[in-house]
Amino acid sequence: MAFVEFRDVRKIYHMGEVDVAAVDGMSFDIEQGELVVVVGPSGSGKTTLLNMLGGMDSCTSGSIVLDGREIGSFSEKQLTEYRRYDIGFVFQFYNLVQNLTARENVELASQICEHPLSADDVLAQVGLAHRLDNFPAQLSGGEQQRVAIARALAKNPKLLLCDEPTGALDYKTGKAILKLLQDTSRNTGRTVVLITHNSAFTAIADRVIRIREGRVAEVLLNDRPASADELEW
Amino acid sequence: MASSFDKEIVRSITGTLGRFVAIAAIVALGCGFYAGLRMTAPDMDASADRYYDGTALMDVRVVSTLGLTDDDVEALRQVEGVDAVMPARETDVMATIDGEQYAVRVHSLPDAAESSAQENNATIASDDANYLNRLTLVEGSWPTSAGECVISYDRVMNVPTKVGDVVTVTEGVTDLDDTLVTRTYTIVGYVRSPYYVCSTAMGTTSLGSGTVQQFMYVPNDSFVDSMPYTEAFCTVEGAADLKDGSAEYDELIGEVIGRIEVIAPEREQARLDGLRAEAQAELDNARADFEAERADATSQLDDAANELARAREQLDAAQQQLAVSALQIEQTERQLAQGRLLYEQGVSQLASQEVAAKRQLAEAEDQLGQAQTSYDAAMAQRASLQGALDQVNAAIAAIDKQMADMHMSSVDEALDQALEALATTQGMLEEAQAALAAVDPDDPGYAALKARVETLQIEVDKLTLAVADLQALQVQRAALVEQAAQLEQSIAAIDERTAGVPEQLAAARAKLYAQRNQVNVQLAAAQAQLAASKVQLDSGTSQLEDGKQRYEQGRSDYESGRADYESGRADYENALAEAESKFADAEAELASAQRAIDDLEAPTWLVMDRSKNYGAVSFASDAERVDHIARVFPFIFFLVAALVSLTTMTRMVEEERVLIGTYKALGYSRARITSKYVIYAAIAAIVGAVVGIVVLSLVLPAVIMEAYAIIYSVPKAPPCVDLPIALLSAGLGVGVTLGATWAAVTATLREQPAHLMLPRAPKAGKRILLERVTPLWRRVSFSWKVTFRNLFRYKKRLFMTVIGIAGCTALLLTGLGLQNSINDIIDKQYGELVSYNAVVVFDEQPDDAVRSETEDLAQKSAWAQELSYIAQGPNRSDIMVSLAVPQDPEAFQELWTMRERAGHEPVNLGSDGVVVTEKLANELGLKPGDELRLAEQDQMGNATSQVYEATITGIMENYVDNWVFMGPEVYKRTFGVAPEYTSCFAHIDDSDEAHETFGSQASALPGVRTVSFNDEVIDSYKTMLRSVNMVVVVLVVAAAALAFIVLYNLTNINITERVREIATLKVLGFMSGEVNAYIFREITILSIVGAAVGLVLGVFLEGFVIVTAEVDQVMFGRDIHATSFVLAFALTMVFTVIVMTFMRRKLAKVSMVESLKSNE
Repeated sequence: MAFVEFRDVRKIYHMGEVDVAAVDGMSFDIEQGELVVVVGPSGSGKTTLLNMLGGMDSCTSGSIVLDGREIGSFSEKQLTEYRRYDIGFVFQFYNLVQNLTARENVELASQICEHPLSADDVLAQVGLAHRLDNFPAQLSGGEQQRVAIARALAKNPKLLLCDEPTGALDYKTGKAILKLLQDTSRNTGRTVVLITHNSAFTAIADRVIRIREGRVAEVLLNDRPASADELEW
Repeated sequence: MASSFDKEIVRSITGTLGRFVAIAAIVALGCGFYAGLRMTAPDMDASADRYYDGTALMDVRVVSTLGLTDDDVEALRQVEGVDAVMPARETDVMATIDGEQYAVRVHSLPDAAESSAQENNATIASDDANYLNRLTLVEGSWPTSAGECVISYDRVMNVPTKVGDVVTVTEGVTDLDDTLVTRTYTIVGYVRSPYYVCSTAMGTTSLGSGTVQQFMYVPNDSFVDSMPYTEAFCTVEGAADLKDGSAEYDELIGEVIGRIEVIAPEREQARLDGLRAEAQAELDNARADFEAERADATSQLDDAANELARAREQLDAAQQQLAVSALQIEQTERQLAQGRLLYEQGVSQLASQEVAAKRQLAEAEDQLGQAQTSYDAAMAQRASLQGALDQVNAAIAAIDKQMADMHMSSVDEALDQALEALATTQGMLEEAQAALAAVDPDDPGYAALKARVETLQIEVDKLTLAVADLQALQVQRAALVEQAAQLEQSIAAIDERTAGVPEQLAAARAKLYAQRNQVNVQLAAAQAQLAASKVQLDSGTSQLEDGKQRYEQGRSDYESGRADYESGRADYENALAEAESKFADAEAELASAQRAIDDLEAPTWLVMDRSKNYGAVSFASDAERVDHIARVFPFIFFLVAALVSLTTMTRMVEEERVLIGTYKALGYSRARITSKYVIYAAIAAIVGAVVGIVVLSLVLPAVIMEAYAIIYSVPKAPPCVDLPIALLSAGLGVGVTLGATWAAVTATLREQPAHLMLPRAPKAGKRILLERVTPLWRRVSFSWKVTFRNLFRYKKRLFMTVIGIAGCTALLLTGLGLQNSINDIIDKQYGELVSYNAVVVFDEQPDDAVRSETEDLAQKSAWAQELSYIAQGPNRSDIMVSLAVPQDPEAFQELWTMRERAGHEPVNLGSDGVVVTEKLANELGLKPGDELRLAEQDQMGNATSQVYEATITGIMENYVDNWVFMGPEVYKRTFGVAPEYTSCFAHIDDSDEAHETFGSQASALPGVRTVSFNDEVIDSYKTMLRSVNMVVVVLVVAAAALAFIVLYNLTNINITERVREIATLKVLGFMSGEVNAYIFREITILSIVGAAVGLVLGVFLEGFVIVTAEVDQVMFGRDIHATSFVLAFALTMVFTVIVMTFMRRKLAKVSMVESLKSNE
């Protein structure tokens, strides 16, 4: 049984009198420890997929299983706990709490989960050992995203979900972030799901899931994923 | 045509209704409160004006110290500007209604009242233009006959009354006989009077507890006929058209008062003259009566005196007579005694004379007896001789007689004859014997001759015997004669011897007899004389006895007459003395009456406007108080409105940075862009202002007047919006909002468009001071850290929230504190300070028996003298105070704790000065050591120039009424007289029965004037409290509204501004509770801080309101209770929690998807 199983997952939004299927019968598997890149154009249903996988939204039908647990039918509270203990989220715009320092932002996440990692360690791991006490406003975009990643990692999640983590970053910084994510996956064996519209990122993935119009267009397994350093786009 | 820009404005409103409403609501609240409160006073004034005009409340009241006459009334009518004049009578009495005593002001009910008609709640129509102070009959009917009355509908009474209850007048402010004819009235109806719009301030009186508690209208004829009008009510032409209390009104009334005062001296003099003349006439009458009476009495007395003199004379005569009688009696007695002595002498003389005479006589008789005896013996001899003689003689006589019988002269003859007769008879017998021997015996004649011969024979025998006898006789006779001769001889001898003796004896006897007779006669005469004198003596004695008795009678008659006379005399003298003292009294009285007339001072006309009417003044001043509060209170709302607008609009501008940038880029002018926000804010503010002003200026005055309706009977005028105030209020509200908006917008507009197009850099996190305290900071969790940092990050919001919440708490605290303060009046005054609950007032100091009887009725009691004065000090000189002089200050303090308010230090009532109550000291501006001036008051309650001074030694906590306490020594020193303890302060059981028992028993004590209970006072404050409760409700509602608006706005801004953060937290797996806490913690802290600030602010606000709302006689409690602090705080928190609960939904609705969106 795969670590993550999507089985015929549908998500239908009721827009007035029209039902729009954002996700229309997606099925795929993700194995533990993989770096997965979900790629698709805008409106293909990536965000919906992310929402459902991240426990931010439930599916209309089908089943989503993570680590043997069916999350598609989770209640609000179960979803919250799921997000709290199992998921690490990295946002496109970092979403750091402006009023907290880097360390505090990490601790903000770690304080609420069961087996958190040391904030300082994680920040050192993301290369920010020297900016622990800086406020987000005092950090560059890349640094902020590192703090965000550290925050996600500190929770020691089963699954690290990254939504366009490089979207707000310049090329170089973006690459560094991708490298960080890849290294995290490789070094810690953590399952990382990276959602992007940029097909270039597929090169570094262990598994690529291409989606189009709410369906899985293609799942590719990459036996030899490229290093993020080598990536060009 | 609406431009796209305009459309955008409209849409921005509809799109952000929450924000729009927030601004509108706070502006509504601010403007509404300001307008509503500010309009309350004009509304109250307008209501009063309408009511006063509708009921023809007097504009001017003229009171004369000696009453008014019809002429005065006529003179008043003639005064230019005076429209209508209604003369009236009034007097203050103590009356019992349902067993409770009240100080009642009794008014004469105008006749026009009955025919008046109520047009609406504030207008009474009457045909009689001179019917003023028109009454509104609320219940029942008008009095139609004597003994009926109407009383106040708005009554503050212990016991509710009903139609049919009886009002018994027990005592008057002056002699009831001079004022009221009828003393018992049946309540037939309840009225409202514009003259008494305030049920707790009807005026002062010298009766009872000093304040009028009830008014009563009775038919005019219930008053004593001779009683002059006590007052005249006037209305002024054109005054009704002016607003009561306005400057024009005051000016107009002032002019008329001036004109009335011009005629016043003349009228006063006329009244004086009239009264003088009347009094003089009366006095003259009285004098004449007196003189007549005196003459009468004098003549009666003179008569009595004459009579007495006569009686005296008579008595004297009687006495003289008695003396004479006594003398006579004495004389008589002496005479009688003498007579008796003489008599006794006479008797004894007589007795001795008698004895002597008897002896003489006896001797004489003896001699006589001897002589007699010898004579008798002789005589007896003689008699025997005689007897013998007689016998002899008798024998001779017998013989003679025998002879005589034989018709013989003597025996010899008889013998001769007998011898012859024998010889003849013998011769015949021989012849007859011869004849017989011759005749044959057979011849007839023989027998006869034979009988003859026998008879002759017998005869011859007889004759022969007789001749023999005769011969014997002859012999015997011869012897006898001899014997007789002898005897005669003896007799002769005796006779010879006794010759003369019988004569002698007879003479002696006669002599003796005569002597005896003489003696007897003499004795008898003496006896008779003695008897006569005895009789005389006896009759003299009995006469004397009679005389004596008569004398005694006369004497006792005299004595009783004398006694009668003496008592009559004493009576007379008493009567005389009495009459004289009466005359003297009457004379003195007349003299004093004369003096009184001579001294009669001209009455003073007191011409008063409505400002002397307690009700009207009280109402107007309450309106003014409301206005004072209204000027300060809404400040908070405006401040908060400004802050809310500022934060909201700042947020709005920030949200629309990009849009602003776009507009700028598109070439819209700065002014144009600014206009959008200004218009937005203006619309919100105007909408809010209009709604707030319209709603609250209708609601607030109504609510406040409703609250005041508990005390005031002024019917509310139809609601009206006072335009200037409304505009001012709206201007303030809108202006503040626009100012804030403009400030918010201009700051942003200064930025370059390009810069504006970029998402605004999130406001940098900053270290706060707290972080410097590392050990503490380390212990703080992140959400707390965020909270703390946020608090200081958004200072506008901090201020808005803190001020808003502080305002809310302050309002709550003010309301609750106000309640405390007024509750404290009762609780502290009657719970802590004062433990007496009844006061018995006597007409004069009762004697010990009554005192102890009174004391026995109560559980505890203390005696004091109670007096009224006007207290004067540097700040004020018109405060009416009660002066209490406790007989035993220590005992008194057991019933009335004297202590300082702060610290409860006991205050000592010593012999060096007075203790005054706190409020009084504050009002007068006096402190311990200062001199308190106490002025006597005149009839009208104004201070006179008679002023006493005393040093203040202590200031004591007290809430109800102004008191001055003075020890007996100080009193004596200050006033020069000893206090007269006429008031008994008593503590009795709290139960109704105990009160009733005490009331009836105490009232029955001799000399009791009034029995009053604290319940009355407590009740009136409870009434006041009810009106405060309504104010508290208004404040709580306002506070809640304020809290809701501020907190809603804050939360709203916090949420909208931090949607991303919230979404991120959610994504991070924060539980909804944690998310709520993360956001609401800030609000909670702000609320707590705001509430804490509000508690401080509230103390000041409450203080201001208390001081503003306080009335003269009362000191409100100065403490806000801990529970009120707690409650105000807790209520604020409750509001916060309610807002948070409400906003939680909004928070829950924040989608996690927001976290994925880019910064805008």
